[in-house]
Amino acid sequence: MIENSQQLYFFFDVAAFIAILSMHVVKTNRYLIRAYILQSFVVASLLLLIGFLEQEQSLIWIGTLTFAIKVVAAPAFFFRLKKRFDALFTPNNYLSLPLTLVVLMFLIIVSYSSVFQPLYFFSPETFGLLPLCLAMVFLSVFLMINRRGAFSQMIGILSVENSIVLLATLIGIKQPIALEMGIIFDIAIWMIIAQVFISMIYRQFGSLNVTQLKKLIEE
Amino acid sequence: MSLTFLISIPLLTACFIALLQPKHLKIIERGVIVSSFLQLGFILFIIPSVLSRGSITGSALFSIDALGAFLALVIALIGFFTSLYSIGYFRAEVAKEIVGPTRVRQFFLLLQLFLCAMLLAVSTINPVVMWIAIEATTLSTAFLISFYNKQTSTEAAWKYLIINSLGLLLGLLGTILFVAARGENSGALTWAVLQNSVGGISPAALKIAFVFIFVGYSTKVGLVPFHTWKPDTYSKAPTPIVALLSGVLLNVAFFALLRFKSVVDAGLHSAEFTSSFLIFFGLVSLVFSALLIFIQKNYKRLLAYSSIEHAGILALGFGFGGFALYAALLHMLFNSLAKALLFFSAGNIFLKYSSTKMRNVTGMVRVLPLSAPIFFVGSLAALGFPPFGLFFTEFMTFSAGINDHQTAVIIGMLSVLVIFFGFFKHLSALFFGEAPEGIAKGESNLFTQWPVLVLLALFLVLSWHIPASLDELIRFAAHNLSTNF
Repeated sequence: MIENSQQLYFFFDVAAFIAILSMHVVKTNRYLIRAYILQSFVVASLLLLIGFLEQEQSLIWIGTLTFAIKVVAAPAFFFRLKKRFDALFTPNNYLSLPLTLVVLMFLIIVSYSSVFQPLYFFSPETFGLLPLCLAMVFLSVFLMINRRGAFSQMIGILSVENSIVLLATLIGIKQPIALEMGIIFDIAIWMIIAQVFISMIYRQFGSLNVTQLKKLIEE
Repeated sequence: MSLTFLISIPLLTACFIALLQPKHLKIIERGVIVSSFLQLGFILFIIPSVLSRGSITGSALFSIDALGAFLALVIALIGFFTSLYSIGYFRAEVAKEIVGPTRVRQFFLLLQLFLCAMLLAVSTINPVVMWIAIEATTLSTAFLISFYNKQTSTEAAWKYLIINSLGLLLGLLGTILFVAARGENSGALTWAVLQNSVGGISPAALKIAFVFIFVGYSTKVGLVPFHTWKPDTYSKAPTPIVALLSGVLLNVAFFALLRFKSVVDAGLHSAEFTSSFLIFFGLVSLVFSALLIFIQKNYKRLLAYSSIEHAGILALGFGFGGFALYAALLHMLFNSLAKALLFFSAGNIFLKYSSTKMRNVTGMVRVLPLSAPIFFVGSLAALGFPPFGLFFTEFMTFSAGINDHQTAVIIGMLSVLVIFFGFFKHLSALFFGEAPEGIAKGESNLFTQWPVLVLLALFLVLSWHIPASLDELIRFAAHNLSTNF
């Protein structure tokens, strides 16, 4: 599946990587959600492409479902949430932008370093793609750590999931269906969680800035 | 079929509760009792089959071996007592107008989903399905932790959600790497297939994959430094849920770790790498708990650090291997019973004093003539005091490790000793002195008392006598863990 389409898969990988990079630099939640849409679109498109190339109907269905949930339903839901709480949405970072970029660079270098080189074993044909996928995972984790907004932390979680699905697909996991169904289940539940918790946090703390969540101290 | 029935019981109960109105709370309570009784009865029914056949296979996805059956038994047993206790606990809270019938109904519904997810996790042989089930426990308990709808409980729940979800996603990444090693024609994804296919993976790649798994599931276990959610969650969640988190979910997370440990050990032809991880982080957890136990001011947070301590002891036991495997599995059982006992009696303390701060809880022995002594006994048991079971299992664990891991054993034992003194210091402050004004003497309703009494009796009996079939089950499970390569 991979041998004749490496360049195409590399394109998908880079597109998703750019989406995650932009999540770190955008100033508003509107663009944060759009970056997530781009990333999800890449994942869904890749699943559909592989499904068509390999004539696997189940993969086509999963790709379609992924598109419906991750590209359409979830972002629409997040836009609605954003509109409802727009007045206090300020996804500022703990680190300044230059420092953020330095950390991102460091994480990318770590992904390409010899530390993770043994992982190339899992996919020798696509060894160039694996470090990029790993970098996407680390960048998504850093998004959750660096951003002060509860909303951003949530997008970070979903971004990690997308990165993992991308990694699984590109290294040729033969059962992405079970995995993707699990992820879709996870996203569906996260949408419920987001609805409940974002409302609760906003109502109780007057802000979605997680630095306000400091009522719990070592008593 | 039979395993599907096991998982269906709590799921059907949840559907049953969802169909009822909050005004039918008494019917819901009866349904919960019947459901938990059926779960426990079913597990006890299948154990002889597991012992005679080695495992029971339900389908391509479900099969339960000795380890799975043992953990399912612990889940069902603690789930049974938790269900009973919850009835009394929330009756008292409804009477005090802390919560209403609607919230109680939601609690029982989410409790069934939580139990269903845990039973699913230990009865599946597919690592991805296991991950989904454990993720489902995170999602169901998040709503339970924020149950009281206050700032502090919302904060605790959000922290729990983010940290555990992130941890489990890293665990998923590790799972993906293992699955990738499976190859093209290996059939359905099961633990046995994984074990047979890891032989060809480079050892370094296997180690990296295990590191991701370890980080992921250790977050769920609450080993240091992945424990940061625990004290906040334990202090703010409803007591019955904390009993399940501390006594049961911890075991389920360990189950996942042990399954992957077996696979990695088979691939590396040695348990040294995985054991060193478990021993190191187990020790760090013990030392950390010892350092922080003295400064606690909240008795539920105190119990959270006790939970971290026991997670550390379990990690040591599974890391030492050999005879310590049997000790660690037995420790799982006793820790579950002790934690349930402690948290239920802590729940009664909270119902009486309406505070989790230790400075507000004094003269307990006069105010709570039943719960106070039980809390005291439960504390002694959790601290590994003889003649309780945890003393024997800790002793066996450290004895098993003394030859090959002397330094670890010495540090571990010193930490346990420090924890003992620290905990005891707090206990004496809680028990004696004058009760605050306005606190009436006496317990809450019967449902908050007799499950605790029965649990205590069970704990005492098992400390002195393990039934032959249970002992055989644990030995069988320990044997399976030790001879996987």
